[in-house]
Amino acid sequence: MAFEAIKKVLAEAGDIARFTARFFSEAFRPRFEFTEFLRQCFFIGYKSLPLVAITAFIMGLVITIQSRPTLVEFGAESWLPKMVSVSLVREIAPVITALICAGKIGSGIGAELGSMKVTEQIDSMEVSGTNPFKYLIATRVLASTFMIPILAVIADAVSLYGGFLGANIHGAVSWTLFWNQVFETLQYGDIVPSILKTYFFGFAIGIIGCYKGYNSNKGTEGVGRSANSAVVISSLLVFVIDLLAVQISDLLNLT
Amino acid sequence: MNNMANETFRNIRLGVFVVVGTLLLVTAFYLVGNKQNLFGSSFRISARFYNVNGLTQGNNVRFAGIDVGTVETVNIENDSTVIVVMLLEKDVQKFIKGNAIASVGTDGLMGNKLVNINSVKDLGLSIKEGDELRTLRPLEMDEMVRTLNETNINIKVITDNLRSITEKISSKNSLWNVLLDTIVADNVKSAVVNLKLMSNDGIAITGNLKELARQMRYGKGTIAALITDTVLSGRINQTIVKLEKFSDTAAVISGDISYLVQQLKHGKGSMGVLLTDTMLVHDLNKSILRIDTAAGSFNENMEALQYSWPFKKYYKKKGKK
Amino acid sequence: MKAVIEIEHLNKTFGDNHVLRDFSFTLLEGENVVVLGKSGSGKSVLIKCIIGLIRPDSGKLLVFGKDVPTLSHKELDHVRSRVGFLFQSNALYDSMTVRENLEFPLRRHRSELNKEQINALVMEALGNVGLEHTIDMEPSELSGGMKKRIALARTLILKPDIILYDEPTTGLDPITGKEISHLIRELALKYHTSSFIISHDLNCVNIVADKIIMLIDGTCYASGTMEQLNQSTDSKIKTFFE
Ligand SMILES: Nc1ncnc2c1ncn2[C@@H]1O[C@H](COP(=O)(O)OP(=O)(O)OP(=O)(O)O)[C@@H](O)[C@H]1O
Ligand SMILES: [Mg+2]
Repeated sequence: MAFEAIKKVLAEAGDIARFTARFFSEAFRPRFEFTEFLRQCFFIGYKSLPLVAITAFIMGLVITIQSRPTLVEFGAESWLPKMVSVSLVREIAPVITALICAGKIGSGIGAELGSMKVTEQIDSMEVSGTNPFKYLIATRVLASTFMIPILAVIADAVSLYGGFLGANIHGAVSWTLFWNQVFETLQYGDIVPSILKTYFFGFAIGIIGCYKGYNSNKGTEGVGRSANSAVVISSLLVFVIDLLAVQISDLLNLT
Repeated sequence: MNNMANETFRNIRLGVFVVVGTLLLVTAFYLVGNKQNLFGSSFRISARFYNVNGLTQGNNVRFAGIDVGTVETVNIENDSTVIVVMLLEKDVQKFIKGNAIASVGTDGLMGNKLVNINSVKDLGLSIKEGDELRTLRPLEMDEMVRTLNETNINIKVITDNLRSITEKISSKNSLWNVLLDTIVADNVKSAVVNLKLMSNDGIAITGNLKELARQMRYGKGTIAALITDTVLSGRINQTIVKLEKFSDTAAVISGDISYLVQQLKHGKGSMGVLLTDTMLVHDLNKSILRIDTAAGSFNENMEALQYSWPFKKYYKKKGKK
Repeated sequence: MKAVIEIEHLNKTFGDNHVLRDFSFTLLEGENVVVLGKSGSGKSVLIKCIIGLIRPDSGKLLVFGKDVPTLSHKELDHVRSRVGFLFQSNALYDSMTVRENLEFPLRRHRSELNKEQINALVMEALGNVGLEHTIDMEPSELSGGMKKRIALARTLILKPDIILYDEPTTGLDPITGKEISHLIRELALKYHTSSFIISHDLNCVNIVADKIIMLIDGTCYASGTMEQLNQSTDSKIKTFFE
């Protein structure tokens, strides 16, 4: 039983790897579907903004409020902006953004491509002289690879703003002082790895969503399953990548 | 054709989204860089230190308490010199005079290391690109505590030495042994040297402690609240007083002993005189007593200090080793 | 008359499932041929082999004299621009409006056209199926019959020489089914196309077919006109005409 399950997981991992290899071999050859790429950027990036922004804002606010008591205990309340900015920028904002997107975009792509698959739209595209892999997969994967970092940057900013408001609930930190402290604390070693990893988050979300949708089979029921497993796998991958990213940046002494 | 317009509108919104995101990132990079002096005009100066206490690349440089730049490199020049190159904002160049003094300090008690540049009263020429600043040895808590401890151990050794000498002198049987035993004389001599050294150390430590106490009183550093702990500061002051007293005592004792040794060595007076000179033995005993009490009270203080907050960490670490 | 599709000894298996066995068949220019067969007999597989969506295991499959399974991407695209395909499930793009759906094959296969020409072709295609008013609607707003018509319009927009229909009337009520069948016939005459139609709707067969072939057990079991097959005494054939 367990053996079967492991075999299935490994087979799927191999399939995903092959799918990824196909992405790299096809995505960068002409013709590039630029209009479709922009369209996907719009849906994946712009349309996810409100959700990401609200979540990031709340996280910033909450983390700040939650961190205060401990710092007060040490008499280090003035360190609140420093502490909060580091945890938000390095970890919370990028990961929250990626998780939200794994939920929204991963399931969206999985369901959309899944239903396109079962209603033969993908075949129809191929008949219409379009390489569906380029038109559907490459554009979505690239769009999510490039849009999620932008969402994460905006999430950083919004969550820090939330942090500013949170810091002002009990104490009083002026606007200038807050940002001064934030940028005094933040180093390139905080920002660059945290942005770089979001590219990998975006790529993983895109590729898993596409893989699941593109290989959706068993009719309309399969569509739901594709969407669901796209979310599950890509959320899990986000954490795995995060772990790797943290270890690598730790090894490279970027911390 | 309304879907064309729609498409354009969509692209515009996408454009705004991307531009906003990118601008935020660029701004963040600029602001971070600004704090690290990577952009904007700057100039370089250096300083040679004996010990930089963990100062590293990227630490702040403060002039009159204001962050004016960062440490660019820290390199060992030779066994007793570390050269620190600092990158400072161009704007402050005219305020820093050539005779300013650089020292390595700490931002608060637990904060980052930093370089302080302090100006000296009398006017001089402004500093130029590539100039080297004079330096002060940094005040280092660890080192200080270490020295205090050593002093303590030294006192014990000396006391023990002296005690064994007196014992030997007191017991009549071994009188001759004492006189013939050059090792004893050497022991006494080294005890004196140690004592002198120690009293010098004591003075240095006292200076350091005074500075520390002063800093504490003025609440320098971020965690001011912790430091203004008046009990602690009081204790440190007490230690200073004791130490000062102890140094004086040490000086007196060392004076006594060297006199004694001289007498022994050069055989001043007849041997008989020496032997019957109960006064001398008495003196020696008194000296030992004095050292004992001094060391005792010093120990008490050290113990008290151990349980005070800033030193706790140090002792804990030491305990683990 | 010239042959546009020639199939010889075509075989296709999915695992143990031998779907097509030694299937041979020829479609002539201007002919309307209907393929009859049970559900799951491999009709869709056959038609997808012709357009190059499924690669057969063995056999010859010539479209306009070119062996489809061996073609390069570019050559295949060229063949596909001359072959229309109406999918069983319409395959209208959900994320696009009717106009964008119709423009899609034009932009892909005929990038030399300018905006006005594209627009004219779109309007013409919609005119052929009588649905000009739906131009800015989305597929989800259309009824099943309308979807089929739009899909037909999209298939016709490239003025292909051959059209492959995969069950064009399934899932529609008999009246709409008949309308669609008549439309297929009309348009075939209007644009001089050959049609290869999969169906098990006898109404449709009656209206459209010049010739019928029976796909049974993966082979071309029988072929002939409606009358010829109707008079057949073979039990397997008879079951279709009861
Ligand atoms: N991609 C595939 N992988 C595996 N088996 C397939 C695949 N496509 C079709 N088959 C099998 O081939 C057989 C024929 O399928 P096909 O879709 O051609 O049937 P059909 O004649 O079109 O039926 P219907 O009238 O219901 O559309 C079925 O048994 C199906 O299970
Ligand atoms: Mg079928």
